[in-house]
Amino acid sequence: MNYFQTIRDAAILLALLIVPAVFLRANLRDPSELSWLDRALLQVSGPVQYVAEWAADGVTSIVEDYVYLLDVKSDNDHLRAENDRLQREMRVLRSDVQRVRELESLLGLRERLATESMTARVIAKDISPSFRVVRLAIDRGEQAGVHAGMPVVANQGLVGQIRRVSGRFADVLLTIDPESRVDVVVGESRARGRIEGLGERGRYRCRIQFDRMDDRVAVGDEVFTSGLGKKFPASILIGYISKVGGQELGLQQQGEVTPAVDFTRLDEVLILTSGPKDPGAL
Amino acid sequence: MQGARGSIIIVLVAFAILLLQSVFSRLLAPYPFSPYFGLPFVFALATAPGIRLLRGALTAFAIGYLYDLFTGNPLGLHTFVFVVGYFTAWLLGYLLSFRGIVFEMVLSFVLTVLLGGLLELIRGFTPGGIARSGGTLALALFASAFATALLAPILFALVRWVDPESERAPT
Repeated sequence: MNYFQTIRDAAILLALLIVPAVFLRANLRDPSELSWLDRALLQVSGPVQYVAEWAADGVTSIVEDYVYLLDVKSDNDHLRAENDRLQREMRVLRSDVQRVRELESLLGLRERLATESMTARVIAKDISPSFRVVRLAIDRGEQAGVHAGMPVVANQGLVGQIRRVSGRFADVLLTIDPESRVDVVVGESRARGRIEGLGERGRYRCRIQFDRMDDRVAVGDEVFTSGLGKKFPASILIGYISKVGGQELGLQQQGEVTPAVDFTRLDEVLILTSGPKDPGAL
Repeated sequence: MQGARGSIIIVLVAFAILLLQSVFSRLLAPYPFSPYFGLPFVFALATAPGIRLLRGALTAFAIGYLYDLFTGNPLGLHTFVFVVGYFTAWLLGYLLSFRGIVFEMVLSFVLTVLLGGLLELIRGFTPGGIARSGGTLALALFASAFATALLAPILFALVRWVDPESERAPT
């Protein structure tokens, strides 16, 4: 490196130290105290600084927007997870509310029936190919004191009776089963008869046979247990007459009954463990 | 020409580091342990055997100018402090013979405290500038210097990686 280059480098190095100091001095001074040199420096640096700051602001805003978007994404993820958790909780709570309503309803039913009873939970349903329930299993059995023949009711009405029991479970014979027989009475006309399940796989229906030909019944009449034979307490709703007519050898009037109970939606039932004490209306 | 290209790349990397510092501060808000990302860059330039004094000073000037633009400080503040820091580090590098991670961390800590103090001193002369109490200022200076010293080896290594020529002793 020759002497001239050394001098040049030293001058540049000195300028690198002095120039920012001078600019800094001009920028730091109160605008009212600026000298002509300060004003000249600011005049020169102003436009350059304006363009550079414009570019700097642009880049900074892009970076800040990106950081902001990072925050938004993080917030979104957090809120989405929170929303999923709340939705899950809400589904559980809705299910609980439904169950509590059913239990309250069964409790009311138990008080109205005034018989000894126990609640049971439906743990299995056999479904026909046309999506109809043909058999129920409940979580009470021999250990709980359940015996075959005990009536099983729900808030809407008679479900059926216990068909067989095992240790902790029991099968329920539904009113729609062909093996089911129940003595009944029709609401206003007090016509007596028996119903038996039709066992149809595509719909819930029972056949009703009236004792007398001249009983006046109509579609929509309510059908209750009669209490005859002491098997079922009296006045438990079974269903509604959906069809009247048809005779067997011209001696009996027949019809069809649609059960009041929606077997598909059953979750909780009541098993009547003792005979009727004070039959009340269901 | 090779050296000029290396300097431009270093300035660009320093600019990227500045943006990273802004994101880092925004996301983590590590006050008072807020590191100066730019200063170890300047110290690395000053102590690299393959970088000439003039080239290093020009690069430090450019990095300081970028900091002024992007931090909204009075024009010349970081430029001046970075150039002063460059010369000080160069002088210490010239006087001291040992190198390594410990040197990089100690150098960064000491000079960050001194240059941080200089920055605060100059800011104190700014019209309308907010003066901080001695205790708060000392805490901020030492905490920042500590955080900067922790990061220094990474930034020194980054300079060596960006400009491998910086490691070669002048022939």
